[in-house]
Amino acid sequence: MEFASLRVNARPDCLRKVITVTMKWRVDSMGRFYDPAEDTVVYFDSHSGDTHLLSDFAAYVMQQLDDQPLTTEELVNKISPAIGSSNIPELTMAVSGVLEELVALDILKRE
Amino acid sequence: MPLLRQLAADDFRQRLAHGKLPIRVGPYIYNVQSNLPTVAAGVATLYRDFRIADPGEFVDYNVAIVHSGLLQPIRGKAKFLFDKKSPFDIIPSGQAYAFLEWGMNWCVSVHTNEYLKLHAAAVSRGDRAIIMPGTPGAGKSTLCAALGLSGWRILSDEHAMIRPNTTQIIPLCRPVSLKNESIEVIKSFSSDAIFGPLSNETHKGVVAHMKADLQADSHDTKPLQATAMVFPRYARDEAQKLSPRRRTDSFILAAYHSFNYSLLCEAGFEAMKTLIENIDCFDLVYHDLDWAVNAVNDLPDRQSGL
Repeated sequence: MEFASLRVNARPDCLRKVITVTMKWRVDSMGRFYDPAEDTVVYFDSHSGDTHLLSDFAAYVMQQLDDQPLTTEELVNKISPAIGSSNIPELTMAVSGVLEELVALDILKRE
Repeated sequence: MPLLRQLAADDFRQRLAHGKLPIRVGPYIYNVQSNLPTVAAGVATLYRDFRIADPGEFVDYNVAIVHSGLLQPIRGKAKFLFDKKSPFDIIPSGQAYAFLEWGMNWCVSVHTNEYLKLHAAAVSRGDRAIIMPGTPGAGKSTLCAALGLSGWRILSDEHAMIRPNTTQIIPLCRPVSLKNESIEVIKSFSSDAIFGPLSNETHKGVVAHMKADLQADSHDTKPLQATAMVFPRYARDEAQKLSPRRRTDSFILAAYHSFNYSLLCEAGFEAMKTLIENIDCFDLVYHDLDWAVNAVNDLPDRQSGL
């Protein structure tokens, strides 16, 4: 029983590692932004027709995906110099949170 | 084009009874029909200064409130017809006038998509117009009526129609719908207020409509430039204030209050963006109507040019 239990625990860890390395984030079709330089941005999702009120940070993260799908790590590396943050773990956590929220809103897709 | 009040009383009644009363309202023509005396009284009072369209002009909306059959008058029932079809349930005759006005609103809400349509009152003074969106009960109609009685021109109590990618509002002046306590509030505010018939026990309570074309230019059809969007909110127990409102929040709330923003898709987004980025947005919390009118009078005079 103890051996079986170890194997059950080991397999998800192994899978998680593979997913983290390969998963990318993409936008099906970049919509339209209205950014009047407040701390929120209006985003029109041309794919769904929905309109969202996003934080300016979420909008900025999204706009980095305009050209091509990126992994979280690639996104963080792209964003870090632009926003002047060298605290990579903290930025990774913030970006990951935003990405999950954008997926929940059906704005972003995982691939 | 004669004014409705220039028709002889018999001519008016005959035209109304037989559906030959095409009234010009902003860019549209409503042909109105009714065989109910209360509706005739309301139309004669509230539309007396509206123009009758020329024979042969295209009628946009054929509307009627009628008793049909032998039993409806006895049972005190009537029905609203649009193009001779009945889109709603039969209603008590006592609500007929309010229902005619709501039906006329419905025509524009459902059928007109050449403009971005906001569920909002709109008023103007000089060449400056203000849009006032609001949920039912927020106090937009009461404030609209008070502004109309204070020298502002009422462009609409219900539909702010925005020409896409501009800040231009298309005037659509029709009577202002007031409910319950607001009726007495406006009667106390000004003895100049002219009301149509009371409609009792509607789903909104007691409803009365106030004559809205109070200015010499009330029936001009030229679009006016919006310079501000004010979100009024009646709150008896809160401090009164007029405060700037963020554009992004205003965008979302105005879209929520739109009849056709979603329907217009990307064109709707672009129209709303153009509007919001070229006007100023405010929250107006009030419980004293005189204070609210003064607050609107004192809004900064932003110049818009789209």
